[in-house]
Amino acid sequence: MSIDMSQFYQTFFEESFEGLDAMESGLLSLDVGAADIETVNTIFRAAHSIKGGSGTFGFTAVAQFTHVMETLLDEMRADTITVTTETVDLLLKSVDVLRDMLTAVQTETEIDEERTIEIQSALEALLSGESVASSSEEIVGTETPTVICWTIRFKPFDYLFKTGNDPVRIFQELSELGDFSVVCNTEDLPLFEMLDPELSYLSWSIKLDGVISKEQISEVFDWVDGDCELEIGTEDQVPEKVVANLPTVAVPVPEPLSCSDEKKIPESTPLAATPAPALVKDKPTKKSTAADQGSIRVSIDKVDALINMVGELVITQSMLGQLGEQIDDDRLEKLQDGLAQLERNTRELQESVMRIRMMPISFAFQRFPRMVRDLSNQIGKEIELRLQGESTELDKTLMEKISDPLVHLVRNSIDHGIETPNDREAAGKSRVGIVELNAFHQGGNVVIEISDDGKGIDREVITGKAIEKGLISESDILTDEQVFDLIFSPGFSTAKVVSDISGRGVGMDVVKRNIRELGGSVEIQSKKNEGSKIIIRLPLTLAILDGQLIQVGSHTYIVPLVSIIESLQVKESQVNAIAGQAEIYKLRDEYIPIVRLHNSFSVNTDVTQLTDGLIVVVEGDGQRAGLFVDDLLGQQQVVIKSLETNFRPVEGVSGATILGDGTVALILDVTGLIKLSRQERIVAA
Amino acid sequence: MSVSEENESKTVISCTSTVDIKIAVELFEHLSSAIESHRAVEINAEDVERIDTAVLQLFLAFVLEAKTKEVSITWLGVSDAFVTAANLLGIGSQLALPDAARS
Repeated sequence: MSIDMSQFYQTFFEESFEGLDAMESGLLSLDVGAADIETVNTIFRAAHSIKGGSGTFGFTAVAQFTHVMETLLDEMRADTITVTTETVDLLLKSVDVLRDMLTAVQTETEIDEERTIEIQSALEALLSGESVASSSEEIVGTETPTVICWTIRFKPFDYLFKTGNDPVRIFQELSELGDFSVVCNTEDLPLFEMLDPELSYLSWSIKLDGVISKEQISEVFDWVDGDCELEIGTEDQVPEKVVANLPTVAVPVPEPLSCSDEKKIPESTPLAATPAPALVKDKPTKKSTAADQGSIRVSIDKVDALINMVGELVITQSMLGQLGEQIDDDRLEKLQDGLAQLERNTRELQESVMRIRMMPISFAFQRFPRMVRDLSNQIGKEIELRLQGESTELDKTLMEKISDPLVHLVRNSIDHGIETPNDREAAGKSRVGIVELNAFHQGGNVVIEISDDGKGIDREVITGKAIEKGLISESDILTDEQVFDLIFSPGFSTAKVVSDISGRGVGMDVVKRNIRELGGSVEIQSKKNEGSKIIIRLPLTLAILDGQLIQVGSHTYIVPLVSIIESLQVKESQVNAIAGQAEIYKLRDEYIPIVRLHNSFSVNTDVTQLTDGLIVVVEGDGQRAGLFVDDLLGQQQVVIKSLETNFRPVEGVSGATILGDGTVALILDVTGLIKLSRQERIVAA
Repeated sequence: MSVSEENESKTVISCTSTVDIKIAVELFEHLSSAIESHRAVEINAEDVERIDTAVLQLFLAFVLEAKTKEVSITWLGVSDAFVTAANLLGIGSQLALPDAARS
C-alpha cells in the first residue's frame, strides 16, 4: 500500500482558493504608503501556504511563481519595499495568475505560460529594483540586530507523513532563517521488521542562531500545528524535557552541538525546486479568522446525509403525532406531552443541522471589491462599494447559485446606473457614485439588496423600448412595478452602446429565472436621478419547504406556499370556456387559466364540477393560474426528496415528500404546471 | 525507485529522481527481503533530486539493522540533494554514506 497524495488535492485546492480570496481582500484593503503590517502578514501567510502546498504536491510551476510573490511580500512586511498603487496592482494581477494556474492544475488543463512569465518578470523586476534601493537605505542608522540562539524540540506524531508534511522541507526552511544544526533522536525507531514505513518515529533537537523572531520559527511549523510535539525556546530557557532528552540519543552524533560550534548543512544544493514546507491541514488565516469563527470543514455529502437523517426523524415524529391522536386511553395526555417534546427536539435538531450548511454571505460578497475596482478603472467611473450584513447566513447551495446573478446585477448598476463623474457633478451629486450591497434576514427569507445612487431607471425609455419590441402596446397603462419588470423580459436592453460589461440584454431574464428557480423573487425600485434598488428574496434553504397540502381524489399534493396568491370558491358566472376546451376564470380585473389537477395527473375524483371544489391561485415565472383542487388540507414544512434521484424527472412536479402517514406526496412545480397546461390547451385547440 | 537486480547474492536498488512516501512500502519490502536472506544491498541514489523523511528514515532503519545482521550495504552513488536532506535531518553520518558524498 502506498500513500495516494491525490486524496489531499481537493483540500489543497479549496484552501488555496480561500487563501487567494484572503490575499485579494487584503490587497484591496491595504493603505498605499502606510500599509497595515498585520494585513501584509495575512497576505504573506496565504502566499506562503500556497507555495508550501504546491511544493508538497509537486505543482512546481505554482510553487515557483508563488515563491517570487512571497519574496516581494516578505520585503513589504519587512518594510523594505513600500506599498504603492503599482505594487498592489501587480500583486492583484499575480493573484489572478495564481488563481488561473491553480484552476489549470485542478482541471488538468494547460497553464497560460506567457501570462505567467510576464507577471513573474514584472514581480522580479520590482523586487530587484526596490531591494537594491531599500537595502542601501537600511544600512544607514540601523541598530545592530541581536542574534538569538533558539532551541527547538520537534517530535512529529506518527501519522505526520500521511498528512503530506515532511520534516525535510520544514528543516530546509528553518535553515534559511539562520545557522542551523540538528540532532536526530532515534530512540523510538523500532527494529526493521517491526517498522511501518509510512509512520514517523524520529524526533529532533535543533539549534538555530540568527536575527530571528519566535514568530518566524512558529510560522515554519504552522503546517504541522497539532500534528507534533513542539517546544521553542532560547538556549537559556530550554525546557527541561528537551535537555533531558538530549543524552538519550541512541545513535552517537559525530560532533557535539553548541551555538558556536555547529554542524552546518551544505549550502551547495538547494532542495529541489520546491522549497517550502508542506501544507495539508492548515490555512493562512487559520489563527485570525477560522479560529475566531470556530469553523470546520465538512464535506457536503456528509452534511446531506445528516440532513436526510433528520428528515426521517421529522417523518417519524409526524407518524407518532398521528398515532397519538388515535389512541384513546388514560395515557393519552402523557403521550401527547411526549410527542410535543419530541416535536420541539426534532425542530431544534433540524435547525442546528441546517445551520451546518449555512455560510455567511460574505463568501459571495467578497469578489465585489475587486470587481468594482477593476470596472471603475476600466470605464472611468469613481465608485465606492459599501457592503452591509456580510454575516447574514445563507445555504451553501443557494450561495453558489446566487453568486452569478449578483455579479450581473452589480455590473449593471456600475454600467447603467452610476453616471460618469462629470455627469454626476452636473447633476449636483458627488463625483463618487455609491453601490451598496446589503443582506439581512426577514420573515424566514434572506433579502439581498443591490442599490446605487445613480441616474435611476427612466420609465419613458423603458416603455418606449417595450413598445418598439412589441412587449406592450401604446395604450397600455402600466404601474412603475410593471414597467421595471419589463427589464427582465428576454432580449430587453436599453443600453445605447453594447459594452462588454453589460447591455446585451441577455442577462436580466436569466437573472430572474435563476432567482425564481431558487424559490425566490426579484423586485426593482427606482427613482429617476436618485438611483435604483434591486431586492432579491430567497428562501433560507432548498432542503425544506413551507407547503400547502391539497387533496385531489385520494391523493395529497403539496403546493409551495411561496407560489400561492390566494384560494377561493368558484363562482360559475366567472368561468368561461375558450375554444370549447380551456377554461378561464375572471379574477377581478384579470383572466387566469384554470388547471384541473385531476386531469393533469389523471386522478379519479368525484369532484369534477368547479363549484364543488376550490381554486388555488398560484404564480410561477410571472404567470398566474388557478389550480382546481378537491379541498385544502393543512399547511406544513416538508422535507424535499428529489424525484430525479429516487425516481425520474416528472413534468409539473419538483419533488416529493413523505407525509406523516407514510404516504408519498408530490410537490407541485407551479411554473412547470402552468407551462404544461398551456401546451395541453394548444394541442387541444 | 526500481530494483535493477535481485538475485541470490545481492539486491541492487536504483532510486529515481523523486523518492518519497509513495514508494516507501515497496522499498521496505525489497529491503526486508534482502535482510531476511542476508543478501548484499547496493543502492544507487545519484539521480535523486527529491527525497523525503519517510524514505530517509527507512534507509536509516535499514542501515542500523544491516549492521546488526551483518548485511553488506554499498552506496553506488549519492546525489547532493540526498546528502543535503540526510544532513538536514541529522542522519547523514549514520547512513554511512560514501566519504565523497559526506564531505
